[in-house]
Amino acid sequence: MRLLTTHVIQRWLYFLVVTFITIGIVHLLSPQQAAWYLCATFILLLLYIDDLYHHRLRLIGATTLFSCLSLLLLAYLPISLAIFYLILLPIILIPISFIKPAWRISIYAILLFSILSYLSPLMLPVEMKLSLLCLPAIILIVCQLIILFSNRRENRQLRHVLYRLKLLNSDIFATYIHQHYADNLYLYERRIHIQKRRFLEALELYRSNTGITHIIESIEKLYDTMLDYAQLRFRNTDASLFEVANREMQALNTAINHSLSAMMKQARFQPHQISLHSLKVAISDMETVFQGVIQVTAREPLLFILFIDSLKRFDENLADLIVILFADEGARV
Amino acid sequence: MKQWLAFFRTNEPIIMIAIRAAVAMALSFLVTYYVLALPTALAVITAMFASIVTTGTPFRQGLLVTITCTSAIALVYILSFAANIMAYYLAVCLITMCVYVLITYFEVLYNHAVYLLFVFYFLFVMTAFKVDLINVQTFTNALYAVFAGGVIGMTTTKFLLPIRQTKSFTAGLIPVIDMQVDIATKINAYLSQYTNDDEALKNIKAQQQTMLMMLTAENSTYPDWVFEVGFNPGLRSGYRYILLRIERLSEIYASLMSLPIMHITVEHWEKLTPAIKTVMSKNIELLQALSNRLAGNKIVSSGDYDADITQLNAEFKEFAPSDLQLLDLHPGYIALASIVQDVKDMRNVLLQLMIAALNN
Repeated sequence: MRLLTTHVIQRWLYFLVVTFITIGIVHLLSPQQAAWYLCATFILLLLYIDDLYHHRLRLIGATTLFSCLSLLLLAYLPISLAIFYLILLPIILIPISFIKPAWRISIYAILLFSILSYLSPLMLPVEMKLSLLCLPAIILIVCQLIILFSNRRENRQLRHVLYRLKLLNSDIFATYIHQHYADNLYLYERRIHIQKRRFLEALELYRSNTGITHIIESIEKLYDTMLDYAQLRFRNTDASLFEVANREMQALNTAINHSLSAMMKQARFQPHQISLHSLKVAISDMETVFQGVIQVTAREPLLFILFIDSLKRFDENLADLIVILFADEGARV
Repeated sequence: MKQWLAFFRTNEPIIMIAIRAAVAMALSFLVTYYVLALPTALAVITAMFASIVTTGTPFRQGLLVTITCTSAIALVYILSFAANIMAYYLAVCLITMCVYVLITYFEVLYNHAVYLLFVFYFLFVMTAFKVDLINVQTFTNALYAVFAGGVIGMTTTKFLLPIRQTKSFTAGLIPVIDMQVDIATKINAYLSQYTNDDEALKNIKAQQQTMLMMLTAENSTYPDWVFEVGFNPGLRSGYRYILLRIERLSEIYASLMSLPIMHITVEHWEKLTPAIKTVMSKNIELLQALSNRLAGNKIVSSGDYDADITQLNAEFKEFAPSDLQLLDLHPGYIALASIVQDVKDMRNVLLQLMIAALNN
């Protein structure tokens, strides 16, 4: 959890500015108008799809537009048709919210505004409700344009991809380092599954927004190699071997995370020397433990040979990615 | 017409959720308006949220929604003692800020936090023009309405249009397994050729990406709901066992795709390829049998799943150095050893899955 990155600070600034503007406006309205306005503002405030301004603009705009259309329909339809419409609306919208989870809050907002408009005792003319729905949308769009319009989204998304890869690596090595992995198998595997999902979502976002194929292919190679060295957690059934190499596993985890963190910093255009030396040392230490102890004691030493080989390939793939990313920066490996 | 039928069949769970929500909303409106004379909008909204639940723990989620909505009413009632509209504004801002923190930093609590927020806003709207009244009757009615809506929502998911977990589980797994059959077939063809066919590799990678998205995406039918807290303990361990092994298979494919096959010499490749191909073919046969079993069809299999592994081990021992330390003399040795280990792991996992599927 990263508490205060630049992007998070921008989001908080956006929230505070909108809140202050809203409190200022509600003092000018009657309690009924203020209630409706406040409701609309804070629900639309929660709509956030991704880093692209035009995506967010489309989402807020579409939510407001469909909500307004729904309100107009309910205001002018006869009662029986209005009830039929209120029953039909969730049948149409809820499947869409499951097929497109990013639109879920928008869809719930449209349903909520429709139900509030028709069934609540709050009596406001429909024109007033429409204005009180459109006004916060305009304010939010303008505030986003001023505060949340980012022009470094490619780098931020690349850093996010590398961050997710780092978290996945930590959860994989947790199965080697923590002694109660075997007793809590589903918990650890669930965590790995969630990290995989978040990594794939971040990579998909990066792919759709940038389409830089050689970087994406290189990151996919890293991911595949990571899953290759993660196979040891299933193949090796003797937990004592992990205890023997516990310190080396921790060193490997730290070294890989350190390398990925260094690449994240480099992605912010901060010249930084990225060294994979610590990873090479950690792999070498692992080889020493293998040759000294594991080779003799393990029932299937081949599994650890394959593990060490996949770590070496990971090291090579990392070096390749560094070259691709920072060829112009003159980063030294 | 056929396309529509196929669409409905594939998305049946989602369409059923929508129908349940609509039925719950209609019922709650009828009951609260005509029978109980309670605030209808509250009941309808609560019934809607209590019926839009995932397959794993429908009752628990419905109960959580009802408790969340009841807490929101209690909060509004407490605030009404302030008899000042500013108290409401401040409370709304604070709650929004809390939800904003949850959305910005945590993803797990997103839905529950939003339910609380929505209901609180709704109550605020409902009571805003009576904010200076401390009316016990108003809030008691609101409590009853929420309770009625929640009960109707939960009843709809449990009894009226019940969620069938077993059917949803198998229906969610079959597309993934079919995709894995496809990927395994293409990998088998790719490994058999010993040509650095970039186009074939890209094709396999694209399909692998699709499969990974099926396993992990929020909008897929993959039965991820098995891992929800409170899932049926009777079904939990068996279903989790199967899901972990399905995911293990996807990792094995990733492992196979990561190997530097270009380092393997032609002679070694030609020696081992027939044995590897035989093992992979039987693995594909097992995958197809698994898919048939989950679909409720008859399993057709050759029955012998040991001899080919034994043959593969024997052929690998023939060409690999006797001392394992000499494996890294040539990168091709380790690459081949990895392929052999991966296909053997795949066989183990598939046999475990078949035993689990046959016992269910």
